Amino acid sequence: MNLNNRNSKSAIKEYENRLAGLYEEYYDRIAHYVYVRIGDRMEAEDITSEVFLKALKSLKSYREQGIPMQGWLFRIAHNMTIDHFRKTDKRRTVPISSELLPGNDDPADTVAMNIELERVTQAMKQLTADQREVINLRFFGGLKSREVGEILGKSDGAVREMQRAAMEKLRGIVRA
Amino acid sequence: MMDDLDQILDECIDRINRGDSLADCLADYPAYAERLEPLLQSMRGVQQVYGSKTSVDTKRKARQKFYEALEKRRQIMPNIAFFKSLSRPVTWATVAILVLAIIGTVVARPLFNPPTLVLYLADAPVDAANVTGVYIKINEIQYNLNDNWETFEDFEGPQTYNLLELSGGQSALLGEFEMSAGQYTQIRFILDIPEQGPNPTSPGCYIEFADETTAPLFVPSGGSSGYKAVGAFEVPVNGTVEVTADFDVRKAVVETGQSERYILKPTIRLIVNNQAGGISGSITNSTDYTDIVVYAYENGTWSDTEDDEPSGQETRFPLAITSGKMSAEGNYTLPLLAEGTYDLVVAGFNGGDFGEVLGFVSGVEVRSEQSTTQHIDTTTLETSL
Repeated sequence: MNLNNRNSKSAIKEYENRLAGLYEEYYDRIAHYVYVRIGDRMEAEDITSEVFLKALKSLKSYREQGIPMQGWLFRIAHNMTIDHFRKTDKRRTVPISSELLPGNDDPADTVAMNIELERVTQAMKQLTADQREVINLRFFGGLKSREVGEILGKSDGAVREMQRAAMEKLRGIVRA
Repeated sequence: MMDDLDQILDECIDRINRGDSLADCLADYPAYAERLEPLLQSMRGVQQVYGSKTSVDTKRKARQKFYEALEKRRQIMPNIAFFKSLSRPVTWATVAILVLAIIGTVVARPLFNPPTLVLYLADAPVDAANVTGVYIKINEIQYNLNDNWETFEDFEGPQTYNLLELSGGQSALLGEFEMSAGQYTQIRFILDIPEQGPNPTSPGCYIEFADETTAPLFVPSGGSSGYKAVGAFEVPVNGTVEVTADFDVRKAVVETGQSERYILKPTIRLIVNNQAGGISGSITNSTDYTDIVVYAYENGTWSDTEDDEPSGQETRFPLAITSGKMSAEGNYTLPLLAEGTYDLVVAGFNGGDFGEVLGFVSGVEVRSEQSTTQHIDTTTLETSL
């Protein structure tokens, strides 16, 4: 559907309904995606809330033929995290505060989780920016390779290759 | 070869994202399993380390903000379009009238209608006359979204209900719950009910008898305190759906033979209120039975074994959708029936003891949001279905 090809008012209404329908499922995924990028869970949820409000305001500029709506939401989220970095003048890609970790009642568990977190952080730093983005969108955004490619402007094959290369780097450092 | 690995790895990641296990993925690609396993383990590791749940409270506030913005947008957009469409000058009087009209509209309508489920609890009567109450304590109510159970945070549990007070068209409001718009098929009630062990001193779920004694209810062997209610309903994007959970306690409470315990094993139906109809009418009882109970069966589902003496943890009339007992005024009600055709089975009881099936009324039509009147005379019932 394209706004140029049909009644724009009914198209906008349909987009509004679709955006509302995506809210519940993609709120969590986008919050996760932003969290991994900026390292602050509360800030990530604030940004996620703004992502949906911004999407609502920008529906007129949305074109389905260009990118699926869920991919468009991640693109907005990506841009908003860049704005966040500009404003705060700092760049983190992982949570660094133990208070952000869930289920950390036991101090020994907290220490162990922090050690593991630090290890994964270091592993993630070995990836290129594109590889990190692919991993984040695939593992936390839950997007398919084709959708990731549409956001990053790359082919499915290139995304799959970056994905495998990134996972090869993480292999051995990160384990379940 | 590397392309194949990329493709298979990609498929496995999709499958794990959908909830498949790592082992299942590896089993499907034995030739690649050795190479895939460490890669997929690293995926699981990264997900676990960064895994954290979003705050329910923050999410609720964010959702509210979103729907407020959506509603404001829907109210303002048509008005802007209207002003833009005016091609000639308008008088101040016209503007004033429009402003007043807009203010009136905004004041009269709620700012937003988030997707909301209004959930009720109802029951069908028991046919045992010596039972005066079946009490359940609900600690929590959950709904299933994308194969995950989410809790209705707005339910103020624990709450105790006497199911026998909720028959014959009566129901209790469990709450109004904002949730994501979409199609749902399952809700789960977490009850305060023991699974095993000695009788609790202060049971959350219990049965009360006419002699004022009580007996605790237990979860069936191998069961859990989470009781599923099943039935499809859709929560609209900008509105409310009203749904009733029908416990049908007649079939739900069973006395175990050996341990002489009562167990609760309901099959709870979810019925969308505005899609349901009902059957009601008077009963002319010319028999000696003290109680008359009418059972509704989906057309063609009755068989002669339905009224057999139940064995083990079974109940009599197991396939009945619902039932209604003749009131002191000689009336009966069969509420919460989906649109369709039903056969009625009329049975006589003496003090809760089953006597016999007195006869049938076949082919009763039920329409949504309508109550079909069907009077019953025990002398003119059909003799078979």
